[in-house]
Amino acid sequence: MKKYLAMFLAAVCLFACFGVTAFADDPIVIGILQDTTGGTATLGKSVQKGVEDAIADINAAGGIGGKEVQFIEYDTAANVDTAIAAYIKAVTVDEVDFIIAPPIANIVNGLKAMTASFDVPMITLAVDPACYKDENGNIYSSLFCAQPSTTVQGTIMAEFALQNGFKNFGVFYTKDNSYSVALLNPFIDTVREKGGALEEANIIGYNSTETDISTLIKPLIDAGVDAIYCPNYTAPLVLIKKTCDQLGYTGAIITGLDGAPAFNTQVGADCSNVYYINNIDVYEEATEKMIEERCAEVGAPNKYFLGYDSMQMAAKIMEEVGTDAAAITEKLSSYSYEGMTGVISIDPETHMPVDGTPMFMYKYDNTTPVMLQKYPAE
Amino acid sequence: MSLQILLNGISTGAVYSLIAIGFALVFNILKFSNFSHGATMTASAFIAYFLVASKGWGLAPTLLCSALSGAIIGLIGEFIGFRRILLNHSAPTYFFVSSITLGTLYEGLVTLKTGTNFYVYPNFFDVATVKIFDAVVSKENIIILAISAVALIILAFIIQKTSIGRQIRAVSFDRDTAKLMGINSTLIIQVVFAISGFFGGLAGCFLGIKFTLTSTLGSLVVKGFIASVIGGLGSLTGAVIGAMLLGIMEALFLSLWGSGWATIASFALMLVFLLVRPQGIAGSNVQEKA
Repeated sequence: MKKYLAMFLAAVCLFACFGVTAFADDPIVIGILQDTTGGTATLGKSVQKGVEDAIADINAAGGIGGKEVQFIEYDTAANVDTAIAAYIKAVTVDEVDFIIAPPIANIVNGLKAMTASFDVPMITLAVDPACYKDENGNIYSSLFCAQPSTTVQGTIMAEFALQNGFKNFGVFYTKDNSYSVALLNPFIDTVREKGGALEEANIIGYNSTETDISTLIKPLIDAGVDAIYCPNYTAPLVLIKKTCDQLGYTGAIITGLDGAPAFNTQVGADCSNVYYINNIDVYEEATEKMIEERCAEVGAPNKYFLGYDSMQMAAKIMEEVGTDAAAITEKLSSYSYEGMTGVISIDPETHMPVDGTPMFMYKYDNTTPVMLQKYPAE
Repeated sequence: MSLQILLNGISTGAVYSLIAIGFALVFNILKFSNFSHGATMTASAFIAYFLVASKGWGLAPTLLCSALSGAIIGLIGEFIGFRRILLNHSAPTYFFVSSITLGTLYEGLVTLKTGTNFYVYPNFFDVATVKIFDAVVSKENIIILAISAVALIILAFIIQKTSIGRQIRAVSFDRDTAKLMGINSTLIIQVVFAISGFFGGLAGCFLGIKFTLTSTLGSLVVKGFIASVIGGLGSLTGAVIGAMLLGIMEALFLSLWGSGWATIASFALMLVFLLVRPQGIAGSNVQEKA
């Protein structure tokens, strides 16, 4: 009996020494709050995978301040009410130390007021600046964004379109979607300011429940515009692209981040007239290698990298200041982090990255993404 | 109204008419509006997507699979949702409640499999458009319109010219008398649910092709219901006319007032229609509807 007991204890000791990394008590818990079902699930799952991989890398390197990082996943189901319920559970029942929230403006707009009550630091990827302010324009102290705002992205898309010879524009946006609405004015203002033509009649908004896209978009095609700007989510974008093809439209379609893959596979047809903005250069060596090694199952690689960077940035800060919420938010307010998506420098005035975080304009060659230009230009 | 708007409206109306026919058939026999029809459409379209379309088998097998799935789901629905209520001679309200419950159940089952993610049918047609005078019509819409028309003509033939059609008409007129005349009314009701489901399956597949597939696709059943009311609940001809009118009106309102107001205008028109002519275009009796 003593012999077996000694063998068991030896095995336990060996396992403890070599089998796993030894961590201090009290793990750091990250809440991964994402749309893993619903119309934006491809994006949410991609962010989630990026955060999971970042946590695995952090733990493999010894954790944060010697503490293991654990995570709990919450599905918003692309629904604000579900997201709020999940957020409350995360901060009250599970008592997470940090939250990585979805790249969906509607969801973050619904959550933002709650963050003021609980003060748990949260990085989101929603690009609408309104997601980070209350009705008086005051910034929510524990809410941050890790990618350039709609103002930056809309301006870049307009400048790119004008530089590439498009002169006469139409706009087709979703009226009941914060992301779509937020991307509208930066594009329109830049186009008009820099000499492009965009008539008021050629700005068409529609409700996401509308079924007859064909009748709505036909006037833009009849107007003979060079390019239609469509700052919409992936599902409506697929429908818009199919409808434009059916109506014989051969001009350009300029989309936001949701025109990035997996849009091309969901359309399943030639996407050569589609231009889109992205956070990553998929042909840059380190990025390409990471995509090859880790993104086989990832629908939206750009969101994977944003999730990865958000988690790594959070880890760096917690490494420096620990898990005290106030200390984290203070540090994060003016933090600068160089990640896979470039340098993310948070502006304390907006809690979003300052101008200069790189973005990339792409088009498709049939269904293959082709990187055309990096912004800001070097 | 331009030809383009008219054609867009007819194209949308063709799919609405398939939904409306499913409604009208069941209403004809059992005098209630079967709201599980929407979820039947969704479930059939998803079955066809996973079993056939995603394997690259083309349009015809996909349509057939969706329609047959719809028929089977219709039969199952009749058995678990309505048979007992029918045999107990319960009030029409119970049929209505059961249909809502059944629809929620189907939608829940679909959501278990698909989540609330969206799916896209593969492109069955080469991107091709046909020019009719100034209007551009997609090959996809033409084929949808043609198949819908053929299906509706075949149904009209069955109802008017065949023995089973005569039995359906007899049961819809007076179930008890038909039974006394030797007609197996239970079997006829099963047949009607199967046909209704078949049309629901076709409609679901067409909606999936025209738009995208989601677990809430069946919410478009409301359009079929409106068409059915405008046409005259229970009237098959009225359902088709109502659906076409609704599709054309929607296209016209969209072109005149844009998104948002068009939906309000469509529903307002239905309310006006109910005020002015509650029996609908075809003038069927609506006294017994739940």
